[in-house]
Amino acid sequence: MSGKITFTLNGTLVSASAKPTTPLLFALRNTLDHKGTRLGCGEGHCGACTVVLDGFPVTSCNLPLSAVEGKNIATVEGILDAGHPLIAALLTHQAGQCGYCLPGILTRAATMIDAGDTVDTIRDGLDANLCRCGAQGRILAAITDVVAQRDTQ
Amino acid sequence: MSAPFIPPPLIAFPLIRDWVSFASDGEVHLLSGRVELGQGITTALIQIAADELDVDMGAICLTQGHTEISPAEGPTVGSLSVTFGGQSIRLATSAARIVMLRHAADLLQATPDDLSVQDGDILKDGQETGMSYASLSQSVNLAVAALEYATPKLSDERRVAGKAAPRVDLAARLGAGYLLHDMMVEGMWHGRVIQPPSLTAIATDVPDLRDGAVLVRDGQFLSVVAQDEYIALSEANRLANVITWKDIPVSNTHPIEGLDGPIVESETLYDAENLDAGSTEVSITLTKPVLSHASIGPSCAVAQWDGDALTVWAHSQNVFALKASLARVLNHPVEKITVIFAPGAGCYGHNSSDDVALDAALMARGAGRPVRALWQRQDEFLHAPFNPAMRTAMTARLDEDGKIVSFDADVISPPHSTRPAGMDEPNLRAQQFLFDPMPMGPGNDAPQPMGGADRNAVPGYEIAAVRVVRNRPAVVPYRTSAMRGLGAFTNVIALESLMESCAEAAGMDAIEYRLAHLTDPRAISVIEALRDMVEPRDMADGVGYGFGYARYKNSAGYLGCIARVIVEDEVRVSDVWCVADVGEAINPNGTINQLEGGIVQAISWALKEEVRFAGGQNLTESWDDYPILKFSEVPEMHTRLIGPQDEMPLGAGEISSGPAGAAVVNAVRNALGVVPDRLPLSRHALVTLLS
Ligand code: FES
Ligand code: FES
Repeated sequence: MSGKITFTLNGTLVSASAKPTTPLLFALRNTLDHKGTRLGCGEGHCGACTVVLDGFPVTSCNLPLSAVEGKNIATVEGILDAGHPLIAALLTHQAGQCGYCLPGILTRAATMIDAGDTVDTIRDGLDANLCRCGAQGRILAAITDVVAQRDTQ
Repeated sequence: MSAPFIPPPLIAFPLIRDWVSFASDGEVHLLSGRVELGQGITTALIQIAADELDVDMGAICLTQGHTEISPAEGPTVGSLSVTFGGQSIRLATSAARIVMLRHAADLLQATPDDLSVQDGDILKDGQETGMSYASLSQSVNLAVAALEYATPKLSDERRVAGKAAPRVDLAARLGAGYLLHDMMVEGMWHGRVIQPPSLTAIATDVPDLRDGAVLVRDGQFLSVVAQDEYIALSEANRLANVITWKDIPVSNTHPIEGLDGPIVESETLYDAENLDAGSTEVSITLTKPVLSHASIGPSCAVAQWDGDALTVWAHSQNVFALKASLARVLNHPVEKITVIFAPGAGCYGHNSSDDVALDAALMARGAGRPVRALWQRQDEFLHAPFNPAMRTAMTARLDEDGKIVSFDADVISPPHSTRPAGMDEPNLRAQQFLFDPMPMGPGNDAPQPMGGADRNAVPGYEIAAVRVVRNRPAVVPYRTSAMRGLGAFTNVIALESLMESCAEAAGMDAIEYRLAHLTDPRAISVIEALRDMVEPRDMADGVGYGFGYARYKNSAGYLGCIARVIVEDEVRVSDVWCVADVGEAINPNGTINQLEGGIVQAISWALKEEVRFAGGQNLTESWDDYPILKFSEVPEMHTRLIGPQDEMPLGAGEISSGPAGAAVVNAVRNALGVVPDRLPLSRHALVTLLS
């Protein structure tokens, strides 16, 4: 059975028709044409599919669409559109190789930076995001810069 | 300067226009068979061309890995992309500039020496001439041999190559649309494959599909195709759970037991006449388990049949071989098949990217529409080809002064190369399951000095008598593959462990001992620079330092690492210092990125990774079963490049794994006072090691 689920996506009210058990990730990518959020494992283990649900980073591959009815979802598209300072910092540090992991990492880290987290707690939080290319050091350097900027303001 | 080097691809594709052409709108079209695996090759190739042509990097558009357009350079492997592909582009674009300038000189009644190029505009004595690459694009014949004209700039004349450049593709990778995974083709459906549990298993009781999903079956190749990706996925998983498979023989032999079992082939690769007995003998053995490529993104391909013309988009390392392999398996004329590279997740060797391309072609044929096929995470862990288990035993014999007088290595490993090789050996997983099944080829290892399992088993140190034997075990209950460095990871760790033991036996400082066995000044410079970076050392409890060095393939980049570890319940690497000489580094920032990525991956292999088997049955299905190094576990990295910029670029992607692994293993040895003989150095392994 397909149902219509309505929620806020990066500030805009949207609805998606799909089986209610469909993971939010598939609805974002295929129904709502938001392909920045990526499928890595589909099991909640890798963080490639990280989105922000009512202010908290969550994995969207194991979050049924029905669970986001009436909620606020932010994705990497929202973060890119808003020009979050972490984007420029990642580019300055050339933090990434294949970048498959980066939308998920950018989403989680930007959210944690905005929530006032420290570099240490962000680093621990990012244990939920795997990067196989080994770009963690540069990603953390970018985060460190942005946290320092934030804290001097 | 070293002797002129003519890269093999330029011999096969000698004309300027095989590599570069100019459009009348000012765009420069650059062609390469090398593909972007996340290693930054796109940026490096564009830097090289921008320099030789005197155009802005932004004016260059690179087409890579297109079977109908790109030079068929072969695979993007072995840290050879810049050395071979990049040098081809350097020579071809240099020649293009010269041919263009000669033509302009004729028209302007000037000599080429009076002319220069600025952003694609041709200047005479520094003044505009109204001519440009764009304006001459239609009148200059580029179907001429590049080598007749090529005069590349000297290193001190380059403005772009050799300077850090931001990756041209990185920003696009932060969002949607860049990766093959995001590609949409009109009318495209989604597909998931159901992997048979063994080569001879036969599916029975395949139920009907629901929700409009379609079963595409050919023999025991089973797949589910649906308009909705989640329906394709859930129906494939439902089917996988309810299908009964009969005839599932599983080997009882664990991959590591296979190394102790019968040997089918034993090849002596280096054979010294006289292995001098010396006065002291030092030996070491190192066993490494099966490793997974474990890319973050599962393998993906899109296939489209238009009548009998097949187009496949794949993130393959070798679209040319994939095209021929598909032709063979599909029994379809090769000229009717086009394979186009599109970027995927990071690729560290021969993974399942080619396998999924065949899956997509079969699904699209069966479903009668374009299909995007995607492997699942468990497919990757269970059914992708693996970096094989191997064991290396090494013995050195020392004279009275502690100098090594003879050495032998015994490598036990299945072959590392089972790549799709075209008509004779397509080697695509699903070919085994088709109605007309085709067995996979046995695989092979490149001969020395490249080597496969035996890569870097030949010491780069000065030793008078060396013997190296490679043994191939009879029982290999899984599919092997070439992964970043092949045997070099295990062999360099074994050799550097051995050197540590030899230094101890000789009563010498471990680094001095290596230096005493080296004469190549570039090797010595790397090690001395590294040593100077890491003084003084802190000697707190549980802290250990370890050193590792290798010249990859004994012919590519030189690299040394020192690791600092803290051993408590587990091993934590706190710092890695690294010095490398890769010759000319086209994009030093990109080179360091590659070296450090290789170091992190090597630490992960050394400390954490093992594909777990019960007998011959693989039990590894998810990231839970196969942890890799996490954010909180990566070390501080301190990397320096010291290579001479006027020397050949030697490649970087694979050169750090061995030395980094060796540095970690030697650091653990330094902290614990025992010699590790098996990887990974997990908590369990530490307990075993200490008891
Ligand atoms: S794809 Fe969701 S956690 Fe891996
Ligand atoms: S950059 Fe490739 S997985 Fe992180």
